Amino acid sequence: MKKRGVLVLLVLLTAISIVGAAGTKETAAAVQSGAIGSAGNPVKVTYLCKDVDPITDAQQLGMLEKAIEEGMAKEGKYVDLVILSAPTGSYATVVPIAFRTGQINPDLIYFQGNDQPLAQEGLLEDLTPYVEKSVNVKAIMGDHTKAAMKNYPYLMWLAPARVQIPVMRSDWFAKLKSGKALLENPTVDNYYAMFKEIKESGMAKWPITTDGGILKIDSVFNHAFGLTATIVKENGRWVYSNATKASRDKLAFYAKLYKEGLLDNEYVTKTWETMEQAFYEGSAAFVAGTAGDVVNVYNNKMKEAQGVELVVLPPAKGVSQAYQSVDVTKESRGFALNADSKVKDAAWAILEFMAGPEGRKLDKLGLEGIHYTVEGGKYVLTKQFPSWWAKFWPTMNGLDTSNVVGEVMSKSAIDSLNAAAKYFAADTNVLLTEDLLPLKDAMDKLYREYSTDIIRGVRPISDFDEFVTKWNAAGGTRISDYLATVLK
Amino acid sequence: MMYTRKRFSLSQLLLVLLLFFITLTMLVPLLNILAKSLSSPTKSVGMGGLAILPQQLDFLNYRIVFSHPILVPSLINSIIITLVGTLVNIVLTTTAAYALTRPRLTLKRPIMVFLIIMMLFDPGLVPEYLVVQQLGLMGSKWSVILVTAVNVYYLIIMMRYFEKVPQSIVEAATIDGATHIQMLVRIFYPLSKAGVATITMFYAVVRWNEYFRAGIYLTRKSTDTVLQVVLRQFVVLGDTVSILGQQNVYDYNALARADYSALKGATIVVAIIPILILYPFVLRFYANDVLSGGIKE
Amino acid sequence: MEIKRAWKQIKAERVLYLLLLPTLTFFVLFRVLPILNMRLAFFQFRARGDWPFVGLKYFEMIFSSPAFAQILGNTLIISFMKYVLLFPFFVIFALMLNEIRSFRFRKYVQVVSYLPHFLSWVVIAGIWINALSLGGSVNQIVTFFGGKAVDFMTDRTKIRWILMLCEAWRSLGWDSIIFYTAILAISPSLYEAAQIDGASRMQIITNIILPALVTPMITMFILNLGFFLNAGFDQVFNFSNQAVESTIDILDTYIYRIGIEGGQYSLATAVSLIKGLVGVVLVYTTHVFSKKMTGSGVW
Repeated sequence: MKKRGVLVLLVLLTAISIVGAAGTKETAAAVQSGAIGSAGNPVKVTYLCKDVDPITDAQQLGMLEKAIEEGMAKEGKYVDLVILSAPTGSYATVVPIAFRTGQINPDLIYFQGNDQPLAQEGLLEDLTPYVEKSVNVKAIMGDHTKAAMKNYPYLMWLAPARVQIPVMRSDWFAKLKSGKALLENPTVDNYYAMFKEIKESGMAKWPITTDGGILKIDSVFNHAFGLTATIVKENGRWVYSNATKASRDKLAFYAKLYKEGLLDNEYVTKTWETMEQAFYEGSAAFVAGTAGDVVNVYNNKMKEAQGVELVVLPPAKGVSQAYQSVDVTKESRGFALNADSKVKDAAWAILEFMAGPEGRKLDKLGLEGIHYTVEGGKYVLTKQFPSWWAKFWPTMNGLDTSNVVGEVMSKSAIDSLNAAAKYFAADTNVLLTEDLLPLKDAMDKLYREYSTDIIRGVRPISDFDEFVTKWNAAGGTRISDYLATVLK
Repeated sequence: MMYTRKRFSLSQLLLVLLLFFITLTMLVPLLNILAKSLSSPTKSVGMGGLAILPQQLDFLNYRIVFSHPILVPSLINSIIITLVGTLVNIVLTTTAAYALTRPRLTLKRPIMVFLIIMMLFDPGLVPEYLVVQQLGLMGSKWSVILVTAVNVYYLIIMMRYFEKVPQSIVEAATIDGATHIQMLVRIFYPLSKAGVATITMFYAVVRWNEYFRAGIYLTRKSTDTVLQVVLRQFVVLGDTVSILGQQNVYDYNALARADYSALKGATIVVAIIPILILYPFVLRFYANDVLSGGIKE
Repeated sequence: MEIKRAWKQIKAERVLYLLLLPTLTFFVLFRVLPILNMRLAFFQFRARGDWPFVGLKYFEMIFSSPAFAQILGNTLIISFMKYVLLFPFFVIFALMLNEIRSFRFRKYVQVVSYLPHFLSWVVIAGIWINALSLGGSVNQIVTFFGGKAVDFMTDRTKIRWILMLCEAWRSLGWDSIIFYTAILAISPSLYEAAQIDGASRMQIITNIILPALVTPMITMFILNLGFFLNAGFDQVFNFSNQAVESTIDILDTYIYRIGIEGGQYSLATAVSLIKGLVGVVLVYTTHVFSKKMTGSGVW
């Protein structure tokens, strides 16, 4: 009796220890592969992004959260993703303020400006070690992203380089006689001829329009006039190209366009919404939008409004030919990791997951049943699809489109990405130190003021020399000295 | 005031026309936004800046405004801050004014000097912001309520009203054994009714119009903010996304094609209504002398 | 002996000091503490850790920056327009109001003209940005009379006048009350005497009414000077945009932008310190002046 009992106990104990050991080995293996949380105890990660508001979009965002959590659970990572609602106000202004005051403290934050002071104060996490250990993010990082990360490792943005690509309605472009000449030889004069034709034929009230500033048009004409980078060498000295002779020539050209009614005379007061409205309603013919997503939006809305698609136009040819030079000193927007976060690994894991094959599907295709349906092993995009946009990474990299029925991205958008790659130019720029930043800020304001006045004809082009003098006095000379020490 | 009897005078006519024109510049913009906000979008788009009657009465704009998920919470926040804030304002201002107007108060001089210095020297935005942070009030409504708890200028006005209370009544009450608080509540408030009412309303208007400090100190959640901040976002900065929601603007759907200018008008009207309600009381208590003074026909 | 007696008196008055306590606590917390925080102007702000002492570094930055000179200039010019150029119109408005014979009409003008003062600048900006836009009511009138439509809000040559006129729109009624009250206080016997002498209306205005307004005019004018560095933050903040910012950026909006938005706490505090100190000197001087000349000052 006793002997059998002891035997049973021994067997039981052995069984338990074997199972236990196996279990430990499993968890050891799991820890090695970076498991996060557990099924019953997921790690809570908070997320804040612009225009992603759980108050107004509760249903869809709730579904997104669940889909992400389930997808990550399959990989052994248990998170509880909580999408937060941004404070009221202009995102770029109010989020950094709220973050600094400690009123908001998300683990993952999207920034679209004013993040540099925060990084300098040590409030944002250096992402380099995370990128080193990463698999998915590293795989879909573009070259410009890698370069930006080296310079400023606080913001991560997996998207095509932000280049403004000019587009026009394909039906109007086909009608233009000067259109063909333009495609063959896109000189500044041919562009001018095309705009003139648009105006004189009465096709549109304003051939070109833009939203408040000349950045979009600069993407078309900068290189042609010799503004090949943000910082160039003039007379052996490194200066900002804004204050060079090339800039003067370009502004004179824009002033001519404005005076002859080829450039929208109300462009200064237009916002991106009213600019788009003019474009879709046909009062403007030529706009520029960011390659990829934005051109895609323009295309879809133009299809809805006018039933036509868009055609992508090349940058003007002159001294050189390229769209705006791609600045890699720092990303202008992107996701940051809160330096005070207690769950940095979990937060990064979410970014990793969204960069992986499953995450790419979620990010770009949207929610099953709403933006696509599964039919016969294929993802069929629904009519609702155009209303979805990626809440994490806008890039198309890493997305397997082989079994997607429907256009994830319209032809024009793909053309715009190809054009951006074809006419790519790298920029020369530096990150300024803390005490030079306010000077540059004042100089930029000065440039905006003078350039707007010269273009609108409020000041004659001869005032450009006055501008250069003031520019140098406001810090141009001092920063040039600094540039000489940093750039070789 | 007496005039020679003249039935008609050219100068009088010109004066009337000029003043009438001035009042029009004040009335027309307000009536215009009211009219546009009450008109249907198809009509309001065509209404110019001088139209003062609604065309095709439609409450659509108000429905959009009130269905905005942040507007109603911000409205409630504004109401709470105004009510609690004004209460704090009045209690602090009247108690201090009462104490400071008691004759032969020993420390009056040093306290007055202290208060005047406080009124003169404005430490500025960043130091105040740092104190709010140090006191742990960031994100709480108390930050906005307490930071402007007393306005020295209004305190001085209150003191002037309290000084007018006849000393004989005060002495009589003292003999009857009234405590200071009883004196304040039972004698000073009723006898200075106009003054207390006026100052209350001045404080209330300031509280209701608060947007700046709220924009910095109340940013924890989008629903923590006050009405004027939402108003400013939409009406001054032209941020249509803030009133319609990004998805609607992105979809460029029917909602996004609403008449923004009429929608802005509706939001402004909502923000003005409490002022319009308080206004007759201000006229009655503060401006009464001015309104009823002068010649009567 | 004196102190003992005083102490006894204070003890007897302790309820009064208790009543004063909340208000005094407020001032200590929200005025004295911030004033102590102003030492930040001499230190470099650090989010974590101690603030290193940097002496006058930020003051040097301020005085050597052309941006600051521009902003100071803006502040003074805008204040001048609002508090000097606009000033006579408040008196004129009170005079006009007084000349109206119809009690009802005058009351109507008063009721309408006092209202804008109570609207927040957010509301006023909302109304006027709309009215001044290219399709707005002002341009409608301009084009009706044959002029060309102008986008006022982005026009740097016109924006300061817009600020001044909107300030007038808001304050013409309410701020002229003090003058109107002074007119109402004129003794009727003076009018009787003038009538007997056969004085014309103009003579009555110049010899009886205007002299009565001299005291409030001097008081108001001098007091406005004391607050010259303020220039009206709320209005500028709500009317400003990128196109016209350089012409209407004032000290307070600059402090907000670089301090709260830009996070440069030390620099902003240094500017606040300069403004605060100059402000105290200005207000105190003008108060003393005003009291000497007219018997009433700020307090």
